Parts: sequence; C-alpha cells; structure tokens
Amino acid sequence: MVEQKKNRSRVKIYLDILETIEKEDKARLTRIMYNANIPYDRLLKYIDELKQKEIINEIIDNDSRFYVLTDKGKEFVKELKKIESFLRGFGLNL
Amino acid sequence: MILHAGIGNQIIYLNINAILYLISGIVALSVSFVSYKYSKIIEESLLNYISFGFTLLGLGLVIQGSLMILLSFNIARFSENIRAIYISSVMYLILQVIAYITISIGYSKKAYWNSGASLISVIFTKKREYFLLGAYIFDASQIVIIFLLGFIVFTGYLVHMKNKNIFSLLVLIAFSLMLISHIVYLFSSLMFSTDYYFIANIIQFLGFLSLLLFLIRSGHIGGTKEK
Repeated sequence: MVEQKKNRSRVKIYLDILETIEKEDKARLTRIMYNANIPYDRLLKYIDELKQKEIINEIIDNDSRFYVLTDKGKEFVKELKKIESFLRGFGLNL
Repeated sequence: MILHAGIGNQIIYLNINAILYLISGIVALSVSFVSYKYSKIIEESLLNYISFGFTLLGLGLVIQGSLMILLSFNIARFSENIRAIYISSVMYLILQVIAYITISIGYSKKAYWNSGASLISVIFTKKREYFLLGAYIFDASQIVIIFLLGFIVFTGYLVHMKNKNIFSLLVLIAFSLMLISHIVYLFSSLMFSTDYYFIANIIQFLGFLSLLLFLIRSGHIGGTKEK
C-alpha cells in the first residue's frame, strides 16, 4: 500500500489540543504547545477559536493562565474520539 | 396434514431468512448513515464510497427481507407473485454488485490510486432457475461479488496489518464473512441446495453482526467505547 505523508487535518489538531487539556485537567499554553506539537502563533489562533466556540475556558490560577474543557468541550472530545474510532475501522485517520 | 406441515416449515424458513436480511440491512444502513455524517465533517472520499455502497447494500437487504415476509403471508399464491419476486431478486443482486463495486473502488482509490482510471467494469447476462431466479444471473453475480469482496478483504487485511486495532479487525472479519457467505451462496446454487442457501444467509448475517459490534465498540450504538 502506498503511504502518502499527509498534514494533520484541522480536526486532528483540535483533538490533539483538547486531549492534552483533558489529560491534564487544566493545561498551560506551553504544555499544549509541546504535547500537541503546534507552533506558538498557530496555537494561539486555535485556542481563540476554541474559546469563541465555548469548547474551552481560560482560568487564572496563582497568576498563571490555564485552559480547561467546558461541558460542551467534553462532549466534543467524545464525539471526535468516536469519529476517530470509526475511521480507524476503514484504515483512515482524522 | 403433511402438506400443511410443509407449508408451515416454508413459512418459518422464509421468516427466519427475512429477519436475517432485515437486521443485516439495518446494520448496513447504520454504517452508511454514520459514514455520511462524518463525510460532512471530514473531507475523505472513501467515506462517500462506503456510505453509498452500504446504502445500496442495506436497501437491497431490506427489500429482500420485506419480500420474504410478504411471501410468507401469501404463500398460497406463490406462483402469482413470481414476476415480482424475480424482479426484486434481480434488483437485489444488481444493488449488491454495485454496492461492492463502489466499496472496492473507494478502497482501491484510497490504497492504490493517486488519480482517476476506472479499475473494474462488470457485465453479466443470461438466465435459468434458482429459487425462482435465473440461476445464470445469480451465479454470474455471485462470481463478480466474490471477486470484489476478495479484493475488499485483501485491502482490509493490508489496512489491518498497518493499523492493528480492534476496529479494523472487526471490519476485516465482517467483509471476510460476507466473502465466505457468497462462496456458500454460489455453492448452494450449483448444488441446488436450500440448506446451503440458509447457511450462507447465517454467515452473511454474522458478517453484519461483526459490523454491528464495530459500531457498538466505536461508541455509535449504546454506551460502550474502547480504543
């Protein structure tokens, strides 16, 4: 089978960001940047989009900025994982 | 008395087959619906092929199952309904062939193609009698379907060897069982055996059960989910 190197889709990047936040419970920007492997400037853009869509919330704790999943965000992650499982059945990725 | 018992057995036989067809059809339509839903979120042409293929497969199975139920209610007027049975059975075969062609094109496009060029074209003709259906058409269709499913199973195997997860394994098992069922369908036609036909129906049903399990484990039906 011929393997073509594909860029990560937007949806996959969302999932990587949200999974980091879900795993950490509340995550700093730098942690998300390393775990999701996204450059800082692009990450800020995605974080803004997710905040606008009320999928994540920004909180301040001990003068540090953290991101947490909203209820809507938790549902969104669940749905994305379901999509990923379905796609894997047919050899596809997000 | 014996005649009544015979008709009773035929009705039970038709109803069991009808239920197997209907449940398989519903599973196929569910796979189609989920693929369609996700094709709107993710730009992936294989999802469109899977969705279209399973829609045809599901419709064919539901039509065939409904016909068997109607027949079981009207078994005494069996001969009057031959034309309708013949047309719907041929329709079912054609839907199956187009469905498997669609799925195999989708798979091959994903796995082997970088661009265009059609891989498969299918022509089949002739007729004879099998279960009130032209057996030559039935046999020819089965051979085409076996060929297509062989290709789908092979590609599914490559996909599974690459990914090694429970989801691709369940899809591989489903297509493998469908392949075996169509080999048994062909055998049943050559042997003029309704017993083998029934066994083929059960194997095909098990294939769709595997797809159902896939939908359940991937969290699309019920609450369970496993990665």
